[in-house]
Amino acid sequence: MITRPILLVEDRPDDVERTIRVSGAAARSVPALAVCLALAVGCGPRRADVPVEKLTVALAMLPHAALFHVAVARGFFGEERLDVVVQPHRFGKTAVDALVSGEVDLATAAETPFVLAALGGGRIVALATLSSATKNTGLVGRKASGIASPRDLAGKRIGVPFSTNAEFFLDTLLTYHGVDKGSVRLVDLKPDELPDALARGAVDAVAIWNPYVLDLEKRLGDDVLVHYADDIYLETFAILGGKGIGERRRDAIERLMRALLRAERFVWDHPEDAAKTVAATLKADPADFAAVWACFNYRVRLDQGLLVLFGQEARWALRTGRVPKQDPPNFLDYVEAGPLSAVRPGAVRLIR
Amino acid sequence: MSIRGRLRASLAVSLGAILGTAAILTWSALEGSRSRDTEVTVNELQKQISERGILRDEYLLFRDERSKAQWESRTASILALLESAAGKLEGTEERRVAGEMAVLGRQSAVLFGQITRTLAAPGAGPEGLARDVERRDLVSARLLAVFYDLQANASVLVDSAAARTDATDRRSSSIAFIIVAVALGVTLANSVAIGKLVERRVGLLREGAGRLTAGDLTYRLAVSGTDELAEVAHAFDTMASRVQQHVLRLESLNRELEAFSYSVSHDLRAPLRSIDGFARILGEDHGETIGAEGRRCLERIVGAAGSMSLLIDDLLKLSRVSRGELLLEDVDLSDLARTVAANSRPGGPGRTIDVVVADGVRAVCDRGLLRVALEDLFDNAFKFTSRKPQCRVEFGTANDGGERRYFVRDDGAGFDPAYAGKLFGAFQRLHTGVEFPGTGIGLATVQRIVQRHGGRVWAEGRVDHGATFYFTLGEGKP
Repeated sequence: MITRPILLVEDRPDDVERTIRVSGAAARSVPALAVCLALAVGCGPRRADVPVEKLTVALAMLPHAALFHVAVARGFFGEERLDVVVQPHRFGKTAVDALVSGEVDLATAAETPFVLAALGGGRIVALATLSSATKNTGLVGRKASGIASPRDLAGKRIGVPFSTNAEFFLDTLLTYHGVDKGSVRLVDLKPDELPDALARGAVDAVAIWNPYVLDLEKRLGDDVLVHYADDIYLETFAILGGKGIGERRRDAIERLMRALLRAERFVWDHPEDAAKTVAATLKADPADFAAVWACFNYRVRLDQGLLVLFGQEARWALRTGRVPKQDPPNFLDYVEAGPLSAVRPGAVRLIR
Repeated sequence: MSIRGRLRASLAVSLGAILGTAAILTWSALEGSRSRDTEVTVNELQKQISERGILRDEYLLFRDERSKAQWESRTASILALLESAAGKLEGTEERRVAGEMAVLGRQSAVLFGQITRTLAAPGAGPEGLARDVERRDLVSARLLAVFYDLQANASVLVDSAAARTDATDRRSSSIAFIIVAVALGVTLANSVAIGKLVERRVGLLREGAGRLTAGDLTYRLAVSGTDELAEVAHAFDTMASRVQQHVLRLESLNRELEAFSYSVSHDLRAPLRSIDGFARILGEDHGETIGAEGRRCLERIVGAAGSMSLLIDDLLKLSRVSRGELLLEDVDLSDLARTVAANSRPGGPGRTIDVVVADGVRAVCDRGLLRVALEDLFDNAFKFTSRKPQCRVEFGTANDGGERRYFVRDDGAGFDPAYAGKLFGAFQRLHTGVEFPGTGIGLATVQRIVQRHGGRVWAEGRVDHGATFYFTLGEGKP
């Protein structure tokens, strides 16, 4: 479900809401540098006689999905003869909902919405992670509410978007610091509602991701403290698809992986250009965006640690009653590594 | 470029290739050693990470101090290995992975510490214990994920180090191959160029020598270039020019000499006839008047005039055979020899001459000149067998190395081989006129005829054992 479609290209009229189609025409405007980079990573542009494959993607308009944004903006998909139709989403949970409902072929989201959707019977799979971070999702607490450390959260009101990785993060933080979770009052708020709720004192703290965390720090200044769980929580952001898409649309998904790997190369080789591109896509201030950019490790991967995290979050979801009681699934069945493995075998580090 | 220069260049290229290959092999050995050292380090790192995973599981199962101490020891060792590896890793990506591993290694130490502390000081009451379990589950999950990441990253380093070693080997092999191939190519090209140059130059020299031998004294190689064979060709041309000059001068002198000889011989004949005629008239008309002594003197005058007449005849003959155009035709030499022998054969009682002429001897030659040569050779044979009541004179052919030789052999007085070289000189005689009369012109005439046919003449013999006179006719080519 697309709530607020936004435009990605820089020269669009600001008020127009529409879906952006990244076509082959965009690819033709890609500078020679991108072509060279493509050759350097062994994935040159597709031949013109290769049929164009269409893919619809529910894309989270977040820095987490920077590789996807870069691939769109640099025309890497077009060069792979992919007609990628983007459905912009404010965050991953709604993107996953669109995927589960069959509106789109693919979605980008953090691991928590994925795990919850999988436990809820959603026939979805992870195709690759696009980024990971330990200091992205954080707890922003008001000093005025007496929150100097996570241990002070007992008895406090904490705003958090439910069913997102921020909720899992908050649970992890509370557990790690031995806070009695029964004493904490969680308030389900949409990401856009959190800053105001914290500012006006409707909640004592919020658990949210960037760019909200840094925006709140900037907005509330010395009134807030930010806490991360960087020792114990590595959040991930993945490209997801309907179950079986890795085989059913094998060629298209391999092309998608090639384009994303080109984007990864571009991000690592030209971080400043890539950050500017993503900032422009997300309509963020490039100066402020640099700090957000630094939070993420952009890699197209499938690690064994992802399965551990899926299992951990599944146990959390079952323990907290977020999903009906059931045996935790074998998350290996929720990962389709074939396309990524075919394009870059070293990027798949799963124990099979 | 000179041939020597080219050969030196080839040698220099070959030496360069040897030195280059040696340098590449040395460099390869050093690089390989470094790569293998890195490989050993990262393999050890991977091994220790795996072992540490087993120790973690052992501790979580039995919680004994030994496995905890070993886990901590392994952690310190892994961090030290990472530090050691960081100095050896060359690629930016590998260094980044090593840096990430160091962070993960330290993080795992923190997480493991959390677990051990929780186990050492459990929470109070059922709620505290439940919180402990939940917390330990959380930390263990993260520790496990970190372990997987460490292992995966270690695999990346292992693969990368192995690939780097392979790449080093391949690169050095490729470079060495290219150096050797280029050196071989240059040397081969140079050798082919030298070979072609030598072949071309030698071919020109061979042709020049052939043309010169055939008498074309105007032929010049006119080779351009500065190599050694070009210098030889220039020397050849210089030599040919000088030979041509000498030959022209000699021909001119010969013509003058022949004209002189002819004139002298011809002009001497008339006064000689007068001397002979008047001496005879004097003897016939006034023989009584001049007395016995006077008549004896007159006889000697007539005899000397006769000798001189023979000498003049021979000189004129020699002069004739030297001039005029050769008229080559297929001649039956056997038939010619029989005719000549029959005409020249001396008569007289008490002497038996066995003349043997081989059948079927033919040659392309000037019939008239060969007749003169055979007349002189048979005359010579008959003359030097004149003291034997029974003798044998033979005409035939022999082959020696593809060269056809004609010979006239007798079993007469022979000659001292030491003087064989003088036999064919004009006026050269090995016997006195008293022993064997003659003018000393005959064999010189034979030599002139043979030479005009492009052949050569020589004699073999011993005193009192006869003599054999061989000649060739230049295979029919004058």
